[in-house]
Amino acid sequence: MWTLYDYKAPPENFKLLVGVPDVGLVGPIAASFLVRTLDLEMIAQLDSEEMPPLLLFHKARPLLPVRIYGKDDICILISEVAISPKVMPQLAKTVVDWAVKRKVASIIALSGIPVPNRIEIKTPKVYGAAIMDDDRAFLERNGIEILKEGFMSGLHALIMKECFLRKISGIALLVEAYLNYPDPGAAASLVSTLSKLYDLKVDVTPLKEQEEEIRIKLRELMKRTMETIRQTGKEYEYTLPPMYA
Amino acid sequence: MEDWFYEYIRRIRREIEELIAETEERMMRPLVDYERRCLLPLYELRDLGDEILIRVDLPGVEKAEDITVKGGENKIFIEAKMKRATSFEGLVTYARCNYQRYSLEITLPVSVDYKKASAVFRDGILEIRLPKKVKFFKVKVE
Repeated sequence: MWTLYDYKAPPENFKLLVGVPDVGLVGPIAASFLVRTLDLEMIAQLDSEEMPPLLLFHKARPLLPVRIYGKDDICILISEVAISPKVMPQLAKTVVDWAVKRKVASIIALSGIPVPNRIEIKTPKVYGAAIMDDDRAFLERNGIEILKEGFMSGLHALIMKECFLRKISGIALLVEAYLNYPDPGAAASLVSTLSKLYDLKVDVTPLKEQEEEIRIKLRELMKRTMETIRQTGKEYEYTLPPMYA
Repeated sequence: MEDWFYEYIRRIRREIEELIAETEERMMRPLVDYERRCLLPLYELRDLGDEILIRVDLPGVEKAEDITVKGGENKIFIEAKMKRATSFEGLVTYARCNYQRYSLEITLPVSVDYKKASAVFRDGILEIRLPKKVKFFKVKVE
Protein backbone atom coordinates (compact mmCIF):
# COMPACT_ATOMS: atom_id res chain seq x y z
CA MET A 1 0.00 0.00 0.00
CA TRP A 2 1.44 3.37 -1.05
CA THR A 3 0.61 6.70 0.57
CA LEU A 4 1.01 9.91 -1.41
CA TYR A 5 1.62 13.07 0.61
CA ASP A 6 1.00 16.07 -1.67
CA TYR A 7 1.78 19.63 -0.68
CA LYS A 8 0.85 21.57 -3.79
CA ALA A 9 -1.51 20.88 -6.70
CA PRO A 10 -0.18 21.10 -10.25
CA PRO A 11 -2.22 23.13 -12.77
CA GLU A 12 -4.83 21.24 -14.83
CA ASN A 13 -3.58 19.59 -18.03
CA PHE A 14 -0.09 19.12 -16.64
CA LYS A 15 2.34 16.53 -18.00
CA LEU A 16 3.78 13.95 -15.60
CA LEU A 17 7.22 12.55 -16.49
CA VAL A 18 8.24 9.34 -14.71
CA GLY A 19 11.92 8.50 -14.13
CA VAL A 20 12.57 5.52 -11.89
CA PRO A 21 15.59 3.16 -11.81
CA ASP A 22 15.57 0.69 -14.69
CA VAL A 23 17.72 -0.02 -17.78
CA GLY A 24 20.94 2.07 -17.58
CA LEU A 25 19.29 4.32 -14.96
CA VAL A 26 18.33 6.61 -17.87
CA GLY A 27 14.98 7.55 -16.24
CA PRO A 28 16.36 8.90 -12.95
CA ILE A 29 19.41 10.49 -14.64
CA ALA A 30 17.17 12.38 -17.10
CA ALA A 31 14.58 13.19 -14.41
CA SER A 32 17.05 14.55 -11.85
CA PHE A 33 18.79 16.63 -14.53
CA LEU A 34 15.42 18.14 -15.54
CA VAL A 35 14.43 18.81 -11.90
CA ARG A 36 17.68 20.78 -11.39
CA THR A 37 17.72 22.51 -14.78
CA LEU A 38 14.05 23.56 -14.77
CA ASP A 39 14.31 24.43 -11.06
CA LEU A 40 11.25 22.38 -10.09
CA GLU A 41 10.03 22.30 -6.50
CA MET A 42 8.95 19.24 -4.54
CA ILE A 43 5.15 18.96 -4.57
CA ALA A 44 4.59 15.40 -3.26
CA GLN A 45 6.30 12.40 -1.67
CA LEU A 46 5.33 8.74 -1.68
CA ASP A 47 5.87 6.01 0.86
CA SER A 48 5.04 2.35 1.31
CA GLU A 49 5.46 0.06 4.31
CA GLU A 50 6.81 -2.53 1.87
CA MET A 51 9.75 -0.35 0.87
CA PRO A 52 13.12 -0.94 2.57
CA PRO A 53 13.37 0.96 5.89
CA LEU A 54 15.06 4.04 4.42
CA LEU A 55 15.02 7.78 4.96
CA LEU A 56 17.11 9.94 2.67
CA PHE A 57 18.97 13.12 3.70
CA HIS A 58 19.91 15.68 1.04
CA LYS A 59 21.58 18.97 1.99
CA ALA A 60 20.90 17.94 5.62
CA ARG A 61 17.13 17.76 5.05
CA PRO A 62 15.09 14.53 5.29
CA LEU A 63 13.33 13.26 2.18
CA LEU A 64 11.43 10.17 1.11
CA PRO A 65 13.21 8.42 -1.77
CA VAL A 66 10.18 8.59 -4.11
CA ARG A 67 9.01 12.13 -4.83
CA ILE A 68 7.17 14.32 -7.32
CA TYR A 69 8.56 17.68 -8.40
CA GLY A 70 6.71 20.30 -10.40
CA LYS A 71 6.46 23.80 -11.81
CA ASP A 72 4.07 25.25 -14.37
CA ASP A 73 2.65 22.37 -16.39
CA ILE A 74 5.55 19.92 -15.91
CA CYS A 75 5.71 17.41 -13.04
CA ILE A 76 8.37 14.74 -12.59
CA LEU A 77 8.19 11.57 -10.51
CA ILE A 78 11.64 10.43 -9.43
CA SER A 79 12.85 7.54 -7.32
CA GLU A 80 16.32 7.49 -5.79
CA VAL A 81 16.08 3.81 -4.87
CA ALA A 82 15.46 0.67 -6.87
CA ILE A 83 11.81 -0.32 -6.60
CA SER A 84 10.97 -3.92 -5.85
CA PRO A 85 8.64 -5.54 -8.43
CA LYS A 86 6.36 -6.55 -5.52
CA VAL A 87 5.41 -2.92 -4.84
CA MET A 88 5.35 -1.72 -8.46
CA PRO A 89 1.67 -2.45 -9.30
CA GLN A 90 0.40 -0.48 -6.31
CA LEU A 91 2.83 2.36 -6.99
CA ALA A 92 1.63 2.60 -10.60
CA LYS A 93 -2.02 2.70 -9.43
CA THR A 94 -1.30 5.33 -6.73
CA VAL A 95 0.59 7.61 -9.11
CA VAL A 96 -1.99 7.35 -11.91
CA ASP A 97 -4.87 7.84 -9.38
CA TRP A 98 -3.20 11.05 -8.19
CA ALA A 99 -2.48 12.22 -11.73
CA VAL A 100 -6.09 11.59 -12.87
CA LYS A 101 -7.47 13.35 -9.78
CA ARG A 102 -5.25 16.34 -10.58
CA LYS A 103 -6.45 16.26 -14.23
CA VAL A 104 -3.26 15.20 -15.95
CA ALA A 105 -3.00 15.74 -19.71
CA SER A 106 -0.44 13.01 -20.35
CA ILE A 107 1.87 10.66 -18.44
CA ILE A 108 5.27 10.15 -20.05
CA ALA A 109 7.42 7.28 -18.80
CA LEU A 110 11.18 7.58 -19.40
CA SER A 111 13.19 4.41 -19.73
CA GLY A 112 15.69 2.50 -21.82
CA ILE A 113 15.88 -0.40 -24.23
CA PRO A 114 18.99 -2.51 -23.67
CA VAL A 115 20.90 -2.89 -26.93
CA PRO A 116 23.90 -5.24 -27.27
CA ASN A 117 25.77 -2.86 -29.61
CA ARG A 118 25.43 0.22 -27.38
CA ILE A 119 29.22 0.77 -27.39
CA GLU A 120 29.09 1.39 -31.15
CA ILE A 121 26.25 3.96 -30.91
CA LYS A 122 27.28 7.61 -30.65
CA THR A 123 23.79 9.12 -30.34
CA PRO A 124 21.30 6.62 -28.90
CA LYS A 125 17.95 6.57 -30.68
CA VAL A 126 14.70 7.20 -28.82
CA TYR A 127 11.70 5.00 -29.58
CA GLY A 128 8.12 5.66 -28.55
CA ALA A 129 5.06 3.71 -27.50
CA ALA A 130 1.70 5.29 -26.78
CA ILE A 131 -1.75 4.31 -25.60
CA MET A 132 -3.79 6.78 -27.67
CA ASP A 133 -3.80 7.10 -31.47
CA ASP A 134 -3.32 10.87 -31.21
CA ASP A 135 -0.15 10.40 -29.14
CA ARG A 136 1.28 7.94 -31.64
CA ALA A 137 0.60 10.44 -34.43
CA PHE A 138 2.21 13.21 -32.33
CA LEU A 139 5.35 11.11 -31.80
CA GLU A 140 5.58 10.16 -35.47
CA ARG A 141 5.15 13.77 -36.55
CA ASN A 142 8.17 14.55 -34.41
CA GLY A 143 10.30 11.83 -35.96
CA ILE A 144 10.01 9.27 -33.14
CA GLU A 145 9.84 5.68 -34.37
CA ILE A 146 6.94 3.82 -32.81
CA LEU A 147 7.51 0.40 -31.26
CA LYS A 148 5.02 -1.87 -32.98
CA GLU A 149 5.61 -5.36 -31.55
CA GLY A 150 6.85 -6.87 -28.31
CA PHE A 151 6.57 -6.78 -24.55
CA MET A 152 7.43 -3.97 -22.17
CA SER A 153 8.30 -4.65 -18.52
CA GLY A 154 8.96 -2.71 -15.35
CA LEU A 155 7.24 0.21 -13.65
CA HIS A 156 6.86 2.16 -16.91
CA ALA A 157 4.97 -0.83 -18.36
CA LEU A 158 2.61 -0.83 -15.36
CA ILE A 159 2.05 2.92 -15.63
CA MET A 160 1.26 2.50 -19.31
CA LYS A 161 -1.10 -0.35 -18.39
CA GLU A 162 -2.95 1.89 -15.91
CA CYS A 163 -3.26 4.58 -18.62
CA PHE A 164 -4.58 1.94 -21.04
CA LEU A 165 -7.19 0.63 -18.57
CA ARG A 166 -8.37 4.17 -17.77
CA LYS A 167 -8.19 5.32 -21.40
CA ILE A 168 -5.93 8.28 -20.68
CA SER A 169 -2.88 9.57 -22.51
CA GLY A 170 0.25 7.53 -21.74
CA ILE A 171 3.53 7.67 -23.62
CA ALA A 172 6.72 5.68 -23.07
CA LEU A 173 9.95 7.11 -24.43
CA LEU A 174 12.59 4.39 -24.55
CA VAL A 175 16.18 5.14 -25.46
CA GLU A 176 18.86 2.69 -26.60
CA ALA A 177 21.04 2.13 -23.53
CA TYR A 178 23.40 -0.14 -21.64
CA LEU A 179 21.38 -2.54 -19.51
CA ASN A 180 23.72 -2.78 -16.55
CA TYR A 181 25.87 0.38 -16.58
CA PRO A 182 24.60 3.89 -15.77
CA ASP A 183 24.16 5.57 -19.16
CA PRO A 184 24.12 9.41 -18.99
CA GLY A 185 24.76 9.56 -22.78
CA ALA A 186 21.46 7.75 -23.38
CA ALA A 187 19.75 9.97 -20.78
CA ALA A 188 21.01 13.03 -22.71
CA SER A 189 19.32 11.70 -25.88
CA LEU A 190 16.13 11.26 -23.90
CA VAL A 191 16.26 14.82 -22.52
CA SER A 192 16.95 16.23 -26.02
CA THR A 193 13.89 14.38 -27.33
CA LEU A 194 11.71 15.61 -24.45
CA SER A 195 12.96 19.14 -24.99
CA LYS A 196 11.96 18.96 -28.66
CA LEU A 197 8.58 17.29 -28.02
CA TYR A 198 7.45 19.59 -25.22
CA ASP A 199 9.45 22.75 -26.00
CA LEU A 200 11.36 22.58 -22.70
CA LYS A 201 14.36 24.59 -24.00
CA VAL A 202 16.87 22.47 -22.10
CA ASP A 203 20.54 22.33 -23.06
CA VAL A 204 22.00 18.87 -22.38
CA THR A 205 25.66 20.02 -22.48
CA PRO A 206 26.01 20.05 -18.65
CA LEU A 207 24.66 16.50 -18.50
CA LYS A 208 27.21 15.33 -21.09
CA GLU A 209 29.98 17.10 -19.18
CA GLN A 210 29.06 15.25 -15.97
CA GLU A 211 28.87 11.89 -17.74
CA GLU A 212 31.92 10.24 -16.13
CA GLU A 213 31.10 11.47 -12.63
CA ILE A 214 27.50 10.22 -12.93
CA ARG A 215 28.73 6.82 -14.14
CA ILE A 216 31.10 6.55 -11.17
CA LYS A 217 28.64 7.74 -8.55
CA LEU A 218 25.61 5.73 -9.67
CA ARG A 219 27.36 2.32 -9.66
CA GLU A 220 25.74 1.30 -6.37
CA LEU A 221 22.22 2.24 -7.51
CA MET A 222 22.83 0.40 -10.80
CA LYS A 223 23.86 -2.72 -8.88
CA ARG A 224 20.71 -2.59 -6.68
CA THR A 225 18.57 -1.90 -9.77
CA MET A 226 19.95 -4.96 -11.59
CA GLU A 227 18.74 -7.11 -8.68
CA THR A 228 15.18 -5.81 -9.26
CA ILE A 229 15.36 -5.87 -13.08
CA ARG A 230 16.05 -9.61 -12.88
CA GLN A 231 12.64 -10.06 -11.22
CA THR A 232 10.54 -7.83 -13.51
CA GLY A 233 10.19 -10.16 -16.48
CA LYS A 234 12.73 -8.20 -18.53
CA GLU A 235 13.47 -11.43 -20.41
CA TYR A 236 10.02 -11.07 -21.99
CA GLU A 237 11.29 -8.06 -23.92
CA TYR A 238 13.32 -10.56 -25.97
CA THR A 239 10.28 -12.81 -26.46
CA LEU A 240 8.23 -12.59 -29.62
CA PRO A 241 4.46 -12.73 -28.94
CA PRO A 242 3.03 -15.86 -30.64
CA MET A 243 0.32 -13.80 -32.39
CA TYR A 244 3.02 -12.15 -34.49
CA ALA A 245 5.56 -14.96 -34.89
CA MET B 1 23.04 -46.24 4.80
CA GLU B 2 26.67 -46.15 3.70
CA ASP B 3 29.05 -43.58 5.22
CA TRP B 4 30.10 -42.35 1.77
CA PHE B 5 26.51 -41.35 1.06
CA TYR B 6 26.24 -39.16 4.20
CA GLU B 7 29.60 -37.62 3.42
CA TYR B 8 28.42 -36.91 -0.14
CA ILE B 9 25.25 -35.16 1.14
CA ARG B 10 27.29 -33.19 3.70
CA ARG B 11 29.66 -32.01 0.96
CA ILE B 12 26.78 -30.89 -1.30
CA ARG B 13 25.17 -29.04 1.62
CA ARG B 14 28.50 -27.34 2.47
CA GLU B 15 29.00 -26.29 -1.15
CA ILE B 16 25.45 -24.88 -1.41
CA GLU B 17 25.91 -22.95 1.86
CA GLU B 18 29.23 -21.57 0.63
CA LEU B 19 27.64 -20.51 -2.67
CA ILE B 20 24.75 -18.77 -0.88
CA ALA B 21 27.18 -17.02 1.50
CA GLU B 22 29.37 -15.90 -1.43
CA THR B 23 26.34 -14.59 -3.37
CA GLU B 24 24.99 -12.74 -0.33
CA GLU B 25 28.41 -11.27 0.36
CA ARG B 26 28.75 -10.11 -3.25
CA MET B 27 25.28 -8.51 -3.21
CA MET B 28 25.75 -6.74 0.11
CA ARG B 29 29.36 -5.65 -0.43
CA PRO B 30 29.67 -1.93 -1.24
CA LEU B 31 31.52 -1.06 -4.44
CA VAL B 32 34.33 0.59 -2.51
CA ASP B 33 37.37 -0.84 -0.75
CA TYR B 34 38.53 1.69 1.83
CA GLU B 35 41.53 -0.38 2.99
CA ARG B 36 42.94 -0.43 -0.53
CA ARG B 37 41.59 3.06 -1.39
CA CYS B 38 39.92 1.88 -4.57
CA LEU B 39 36.51 1.57 -6.18
CA LEU B 40 35.06 -1.69 -7.47
CA PRO B 41 33.75 -1.32 -11.02
CA LEU B 42 30.54 -2.78 -12.45
CA TYR B 43 31.17 -5.72 -14.74
CA GLU B 44 29.50 -8.58 -16.57
CA LEU B 45 30.81 -12.02 -17.41
CA ARG B 46 29.38 -13.99 -20.33
CA ASP B 47 30.07 -17.52 -21.49
CA LEU B 48 30.20 -17.41 -25.29
CA GLY B 49 30.77 -21.14 -25.74
CA ASP B 50 34.41 -21.26 -26.76
CA GLU B 51 35.43 -18.14 -24.85
CA ILE B 52 34.61 -16.07 -21.78
CA LEU B 53 33.76 -12.42 -22.39
CA ILE B 54 34.25 -9.94 -19.54
CA ARG B 55 33.07 -6.33 -19.85
CA VAL B 56 34.12 -3.85 -17.17
CA ASP B 57 32.74 -0.31 -16.86
CA LEU B 58 35.68 2.00 -16.07
CA PRO B 59 34.40 5.59 -16.22
CA GLY B 60 37.12 8.16 -15.63
CA VAL B 61 39.87 5.97 -17.07
CA GLU B 62 41.35 7.71 -20.09
CA LYS B 63 43.61 5.27 -21.90
CA ALA B 64 44.54 1.60 -22.20
CA GLU B 65 48.00 2.24 -20.67
CA ASP B 66 46.29 3.06 -17.36
CA ILE B 67 44.85 -0.46 -17.12
CA THR B 68 46.57 -3.64 -15.92
CA VAL B 69 45.03 -7.06 -16.49
CA LYS B 70 46.63 -10.09 -14.84
CA GLY B 71 45.52 -13.70 -14.65
CA GLY B 72 46.36 -16.55 -12.32
CA GLU B 73 44.84 -19.93 -11.44
CA ASN B 74 41.12 -19.42 -12.09
CA LYS B 75 41.10 -15.69 -11.35
CA ILE B 76 41.58 -12.51 -13.29
CA PHE B 77 42.73 -9.23 -11.70
CA ILE B 78 42.02 -5.81 -13.17
CA GLU B 79 43.55 -2.55 -11.93
CA ALA B 80 42.90 0.85 -13.52
CA LYS B 81 43.82 4.43 -12.74
CA MET B 82 41.37 7.27 -13.35
CA LYS B 83 42.64 10.51 -14.91
CA ARG B 84 41.43 12.46 -11.88
CA ALA B 85 40.20 11.60 -8.40
CA THR B 86 36.49 11.38 -7.73
CA SER B 87 35.43 13.10 -4.56
CA PHE B 88 33.10 11.44 -2.08
CA GLU B 89 33.78 14.11 0.53
CA GLY B 90 30.19 14.48 1.68
CA LEU B 91 29.76 10.75 2.24
CA VAL B 92 30.83 9.34 5.58
CA THR B 93 30.34 5.80 4.26
CA TYR B 94 33.11 6.48 1.74
CA ALA B 95 35.29 7.81 4.60
CA ARG B 96 35.07 11.24 2.91
CA CYS B 97 37.97 10.24 0.68
CA ASN B 98 38.87 10.80 -2.93
CA TYR B 99 39.30 7.68 -5.02
CA GLN B 100 41.37 7.47 -8.19
CA ARG B 101 41.76 3.74 -8.75
CA TYR B 102 39.64 0.72 -9.63
CA SER B 103 40.44 -2.81 -8.56
CA LEU B 104 38.54 -5.95 -9.45
CA GLU B 105 39.09 -9.65 -8.93
CA ILE B 106 36.88 -12.09 -10.84
CA THR B 107 36.70 -15.83 -10.33
CA LEU B 108 36.45 -17.55 -13.70
CA PRO B 109 33.95 -20.39 -14.15
CA VAL B 110 36.33 -22.46 -16.34
CA SER B 111 40.04 -22.77 -17.16
CA VAL B 112 41.15 -20.33 -19.82
CA ASP B 113 44.13 -20.02 -22.13
CA TYR B 114 45.77 -16.79 -20.96
CA LYS B 115 48.26 -16.88 -23.84
CA LYS B 116 45.42 -16.31 -26.30
CA ALA B 117 43.62 -13.66 -24.22
CA SER B 118 42.88 -10.27 -25.78
CA ALA B 119 41.55 -6.99 -24.40
CA VAL B 120 40.20 -3.78 -25.92
CA PHE B 121 39.43 -0.51 -24.11
CA ARG B 122 36.90 1.83 -25.72
CA ASP B 123 34.65 4.64 -24.40
CA GLY B 124 35.40 3.74 -20.78
CA ILE B 125 34.57 0.06 -21.22
CA LEU B 126 37.17 -2.70 -21.07
CA GLU B 127 36.36 -5.87 -23.00
CA ILE B 128 38.44 -8.98 -22.28
CA ARG B 129 38.14 -12.19 -24.29
CA LEU B 130 39.51 -15.35 -22.72
CA PRO B 131 39.48 -18.49 -24.91
CA LYS B 132 38.57 -21.63 -22.96
CA LYS B 133 41.19 -24.30 -22.47
CA VAL B 134 38.71 -27.07 -23.20
CA LYS B 135 38.77 -27.97 -26.86
CA PHE B 136 35.51 -28.84 -28.50
CA PHE B 137 35.22 -31.70 -30.95
CA LYS B 138 32.88 -32.07 -33.87
CA VAL B 139 30.56 -35.03 -34.33
CA LYS B 140 29.53 -35.87 -37.85
CA VAL B 141 25.74 -36.04 -38.15
CA GLU B 142 24.39 -38.41 -40.75
